[in-house]
Amino acid sequence: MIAYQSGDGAAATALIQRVSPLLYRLFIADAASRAHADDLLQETWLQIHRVRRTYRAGEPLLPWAYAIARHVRIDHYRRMRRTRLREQRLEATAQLAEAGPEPATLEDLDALLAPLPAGQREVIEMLKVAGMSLEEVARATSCTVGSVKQKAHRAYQKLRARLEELKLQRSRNGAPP
Amino acid sequence: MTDSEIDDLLRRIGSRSPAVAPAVLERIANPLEGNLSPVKPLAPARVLAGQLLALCVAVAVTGSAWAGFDGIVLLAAWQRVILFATVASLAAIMTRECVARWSPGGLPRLSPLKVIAGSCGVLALLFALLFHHYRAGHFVTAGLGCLEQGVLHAIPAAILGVFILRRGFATRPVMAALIGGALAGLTGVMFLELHCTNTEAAHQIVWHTVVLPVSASLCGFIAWIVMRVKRARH
Repeated sequence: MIAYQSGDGAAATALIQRVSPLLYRLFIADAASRAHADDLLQETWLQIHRVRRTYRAGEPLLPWAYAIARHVRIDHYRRMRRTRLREQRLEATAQLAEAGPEPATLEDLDALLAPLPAGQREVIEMLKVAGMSLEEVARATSCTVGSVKQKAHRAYQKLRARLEELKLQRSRNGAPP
Repeated sequence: MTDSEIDDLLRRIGSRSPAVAPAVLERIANPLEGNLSPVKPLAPARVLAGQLLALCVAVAVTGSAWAGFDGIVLLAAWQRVILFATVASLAAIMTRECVARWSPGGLPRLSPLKVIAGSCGVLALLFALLFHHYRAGHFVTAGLGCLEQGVLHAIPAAILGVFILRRGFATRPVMAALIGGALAGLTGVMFLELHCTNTEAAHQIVWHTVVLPVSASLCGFIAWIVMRVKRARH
């Protein structure tokens, strides 16, 4: 990152290749399609490039990159929501009811985490999937460590209930537990 | 199902993350490589916090030098020490939080609402302990004058604070503006304590304390408007 700040092109490419898969995970869960997630990833890197001066040597890189990615994602969904609200006035809303949530399985992370509120889902993804510490997640989400702990605790309560429910469904259908 | 079982499950299925297509990575890297000028990293958090703290003191002292140090001369030495030590401690906490919110990946320790509510509580308690004149003459007219002067001193503090933090980037702009506005409001409170000659307890508790939440709300509102306009333009 320091080499990237000093204008090293090879360092920029290496950084993009290393960090992008982690950021992509954050977008793919919410995005409507892969192309949409690709666009969000590109927008994030443009933002990272614009504010690359804000990284300080010695500070953890991943929370810094996640914080910017999260900002891009929130900004994007707020814009999308406003656009959708305007479009609804012109279009028929009947189509909205057609698509329901996909049934979850024990092997699909996105479907498993889908019922969680966005804040809890991203905390779980950062803590358990990206392997970040509580402090790093707090840095990435601009929250306090206490707030991250609370979100993780609530998410685990919901996940536990959901997993029990899925196991029960599987045993009723005769599938192995 | 235990927590460790859920941990294992999440790690196992999370490790099968979808890969980013090489063409996408290339599409991201190419425009960035063509526009790579060296940048100077943001100053360390301590330096920025120090600059903000110095700015607040400078604005309050300059304002009082202009309007007169009439308030501080009415206080006993012990009152001055307790009052300004408390205000300085609150300012130190706020500058730290403000800098953390203005750099991505900064670690805020308190939520802005807790900082604002806590600071108002501390100031109100402090004024109740230090001032024992319980008359309330011209409560509203005198109070509105102080509120106006306090906010008028918070405005230059907020503008100059944005100038100090101009190279930073707030990932949650409204939260960052709330805490910045609270710090600017505290500058207004500092000015009032140096200048205001009204030592009635009710006046100090209500009208001096309220400068802080009013400034914070104004800054938060302005940030919210700016963000909406930016999104609408995008």
